[in-house]
Amino acid sequence: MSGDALAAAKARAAGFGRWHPAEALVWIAAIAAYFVFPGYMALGAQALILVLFALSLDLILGYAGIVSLGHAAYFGIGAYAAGMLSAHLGWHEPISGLLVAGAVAAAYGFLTGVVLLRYHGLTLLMLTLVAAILLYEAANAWSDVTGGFDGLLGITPAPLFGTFEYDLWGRTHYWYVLAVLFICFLGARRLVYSPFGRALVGLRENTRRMHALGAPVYWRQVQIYTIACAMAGIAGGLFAQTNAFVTLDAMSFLRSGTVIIVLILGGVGRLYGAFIGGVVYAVLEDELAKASPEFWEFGIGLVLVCLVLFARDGIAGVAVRLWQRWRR
Amino acid sequence: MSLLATHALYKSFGQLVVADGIDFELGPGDRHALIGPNGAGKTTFVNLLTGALAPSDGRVMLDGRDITRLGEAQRVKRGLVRTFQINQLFAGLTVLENVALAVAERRGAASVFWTPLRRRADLIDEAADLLVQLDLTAVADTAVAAVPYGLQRMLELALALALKPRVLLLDEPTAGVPSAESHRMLEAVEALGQDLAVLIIEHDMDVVFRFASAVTVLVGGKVLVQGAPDEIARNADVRAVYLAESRDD
Repeated sequence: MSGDALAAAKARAAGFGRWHPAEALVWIAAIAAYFVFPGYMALGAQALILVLFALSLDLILGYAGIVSLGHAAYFGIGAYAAGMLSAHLGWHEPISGLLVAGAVAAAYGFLTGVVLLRYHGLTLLMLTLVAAILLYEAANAWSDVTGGFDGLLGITPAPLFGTFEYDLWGRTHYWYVLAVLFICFLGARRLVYSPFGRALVGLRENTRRMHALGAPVYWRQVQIYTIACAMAGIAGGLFAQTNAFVTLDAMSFLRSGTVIIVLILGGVGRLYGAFIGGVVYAVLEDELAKASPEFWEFGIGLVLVCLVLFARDGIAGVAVRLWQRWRR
Repeated sequence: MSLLATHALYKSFGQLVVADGIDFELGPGDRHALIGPNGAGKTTFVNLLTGALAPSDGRVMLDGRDITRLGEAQRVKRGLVRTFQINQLFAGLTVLENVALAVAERRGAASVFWTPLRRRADLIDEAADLLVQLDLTAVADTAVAAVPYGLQRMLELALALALKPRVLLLDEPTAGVPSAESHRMLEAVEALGQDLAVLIIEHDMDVVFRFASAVTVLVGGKVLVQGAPDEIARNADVRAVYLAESRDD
């Protein structure tokens, strides 16, 4: 009897993080969407950017348990980095632009993380908010370079790989964003199923015990924070390149809040929660705004209230539970 | 030579003195009990030893080296390991995963983020062996939150042992555990290597006299007396402190 439990635990460990067929479905659906909804590719690209942004938040919030109300700062930094590279410096090649966006956001994430992560709980929450607002106001004050409230114009990415021109319907954008998302997703997936990823979950579950196990807690937090910020910066870079335009909204408090809602909607700490949440949010926003341009946020709020009341583990959590019940 | 020692260890929070010049020594193979009434500063002393608290004055030595300025993690790496009076476990993870986390930390595997954990069978196997050793296999695949309290206490010990300690600080390991199970736990500790030094904080005098070869009595942040268990049992001061205490109960 007891040997069975140990064998079961070992079998679970040996299969930990293997690809599940349901995962392929998600990506097949993303590819199929191109053929089924050809008129919605611009929306699709923006939805996938939101997915990538939410995925970056999931790494720190869902896995390492680091709460942040200012995650849009890194999205915005990435957006402005990619945007200015093209608009001011005349560097239009998109993929290198994206790498620069990620690197700049990572550097900024590291510098801010080194300070912020010395704090915990509510203090940390408030400081992330303050850091993002400071950045927002700095970008506003520095309008010669950032364009201030008018936004940054003149972002003209060169064709992808020098061959694929961008079309009016956003089809090239969609493939571009999907490919970048997939690569980042593979990286995030690799990370969360590694010993490092499990140690992050240890931090989320019990920081005190991680100290007592001899874990370099602070340094680990800085590491994952930097990685998550790089990913947020790449999402921001995609945002700038696909819209050919960046405003201060990219790093607003509203965006920081939205990405948390997206993650809660989809499910925290399960990778695909970001995927489901991002797509559902973008589609809801689009449909609700069409139905009622003034009150669409009410609809989002209603959905969120229902989820918090009845399904705290988000849409992905509900899906997993239904699947397990059906199999039994 | 002593493995772990403190010299005139002093800690105060404002006017409140919680460690008042504690001199203490622990050698290889020692089984030392730390007793004292509630609020005597026992857990504070453990926190000073592990580095969770920084002393206001005095020194902590490990292997003859001053570790007073070292952080908690660095002390753990040097073999100074503790358990907690109140369970500090990873409630959402299974028992095997809990121990595997500790094994991964000790072996430095927890900073690896490119190799999947499932390819590190060595970590899983070592964790599984420890579960066999501590008779925890029945709950290996159970999430900790669903594990009975007595077994959770045993897992507390398992997490510490996974770090292969040289000095083990047990903060009331048998608190709240029925005596049949607490015996099992102490047997597991007694079965550990003879080089290992153990400091146990304990309220249960049966446990103290069964387990320890030396006892330190702490009262008001000060060492009241140190000695062999039977000396302590006869000591008039100790009896006064404990009789007053037991009348409160």
